[in-house]
Amino acid sequence: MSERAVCFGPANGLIGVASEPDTPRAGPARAVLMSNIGMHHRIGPFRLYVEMARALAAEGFFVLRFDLSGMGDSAMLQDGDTPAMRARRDVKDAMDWLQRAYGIEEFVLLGLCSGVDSAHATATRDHRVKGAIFIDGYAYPTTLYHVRHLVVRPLQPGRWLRFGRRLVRGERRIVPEADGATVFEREQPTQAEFARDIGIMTARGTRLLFIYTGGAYNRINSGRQVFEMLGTGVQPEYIESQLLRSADHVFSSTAQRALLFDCIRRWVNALPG
Amino acid sequence: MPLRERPIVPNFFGRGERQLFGIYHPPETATFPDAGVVLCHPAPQDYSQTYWALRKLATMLATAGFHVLRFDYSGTGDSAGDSADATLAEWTRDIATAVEELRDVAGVRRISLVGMRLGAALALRAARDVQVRELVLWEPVVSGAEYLNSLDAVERRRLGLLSFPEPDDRHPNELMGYAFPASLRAETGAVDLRLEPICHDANVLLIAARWTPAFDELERRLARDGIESSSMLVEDPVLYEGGGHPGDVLLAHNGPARITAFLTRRNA
Repeated sequence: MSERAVCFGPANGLIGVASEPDTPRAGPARAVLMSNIGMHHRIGPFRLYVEMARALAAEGFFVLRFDLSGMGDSAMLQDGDTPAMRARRDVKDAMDWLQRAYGIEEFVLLGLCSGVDSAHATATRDHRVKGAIFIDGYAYPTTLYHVRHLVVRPLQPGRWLRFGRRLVRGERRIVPEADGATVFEREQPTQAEFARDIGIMTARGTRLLFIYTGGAYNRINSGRQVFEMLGTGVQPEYIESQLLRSADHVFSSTAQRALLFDCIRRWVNALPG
Repeated sequence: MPLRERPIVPNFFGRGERQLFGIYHPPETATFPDAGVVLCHPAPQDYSQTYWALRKLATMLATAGFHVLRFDYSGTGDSAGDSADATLAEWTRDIATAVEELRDVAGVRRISLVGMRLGAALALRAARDVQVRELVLWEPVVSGAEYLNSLDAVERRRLGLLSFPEPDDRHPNELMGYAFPASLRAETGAVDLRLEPICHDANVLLIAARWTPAFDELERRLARDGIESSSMLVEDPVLYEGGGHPGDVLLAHNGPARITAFLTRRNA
């Protein structure tokens, strides 16, 4: 595996790092794309994307981690577009660059949190996307979610530990600081739009991996909830869903990241073609 | 389509397996054709939160006419290696490698180092071996032991917020989500800028948004040793003031502006 710094897109203003396998995998060349999350740059939380890119490159995949326009190290364009429009164009530019540089025609997009927005939008529109991994992406509480919530919530050990500690110490409840999702303007689809888009992706044969963490437990509390959200208009055999309850939203320990890597490595290697 | 800023040049540099990732910011004017500034990041625990601030500083310095290189230490950011193998000694050598790179790329002779948090301590150590004209210590870690205590407190608070705590959430060889072997903890704990040898040739700027008694002690030490130095308290956000949420980003504006003004004045 080797890596090189790359510039691409309009005026070469987009910055990324390409991980190149020593021996590309058999079959059609395939690349995995990862873009920055919110204001944090392309290495991902706790260097998650660097470690994952190197692990996937060691297994024969080309990987590009890069910064969207105006984020991380990439330049801001004076084009008058919305951040969402720009992000979609950036992902397309990244695929175009990989196609020119390595002759790659099949792509897997990986998005975490706000990074899901551009991955979802591109996977809906671009036939080159053969797979997409959405981590703590869109989630819509369902009727069964509320039922599970009433049953599961009292069983969360952390909740009781924190409650007990606050009681003993006379502390008030800590409300975490606002996260990127509330700071950034995001264009999230409605549940109906989400189901329609996933239907378009699966009808085209795009494989999808949904991963949710304990950090998204206020919106999703079962690995099966994705299917509850989607209804009947999709091809479920193209969809896999995992709930990594012990992981937090940013995979902030080596053990949590190992869990994620195992899940992604297995799924990517099992993609047909 | 026009860019809102001047293009920058990302590249890997260094020897053999230890390839370092860096970004060179070419100067926008020919004001200081012989002056280069190397920016030294903090430890991985503070790296992502301060990345934006260091990029902003690099852009300001390049606009003022400096050649600027910011880079990732071995095993951090985009550079080669694993943070589990990191040592402060290696990161200090990486600074020397980055200085060499900037000299090669830009042909500059006059070098200034700006180090943030633990990067300030590393820059100070690197300045013993590399000829440096200015040394900027931005929110420096003066005492490694106090620094570790503060990070441990942030970590404890973070783990207390987990809905599903697991026995391995707090691994002894990790700190704030990053591999942090015992040897690196010992090296970091031993940092004490009040006692360490300091290069006497560089002009030192100590700059921070929140003043601590340790900064007073460092100031007295610099004066006692006859090192030309100055200090600035700037109005900027303070890292971890909100408790240390992993998504925090230090949106510093005044620090980068004052550092740029200081280096401009010194090189004029």
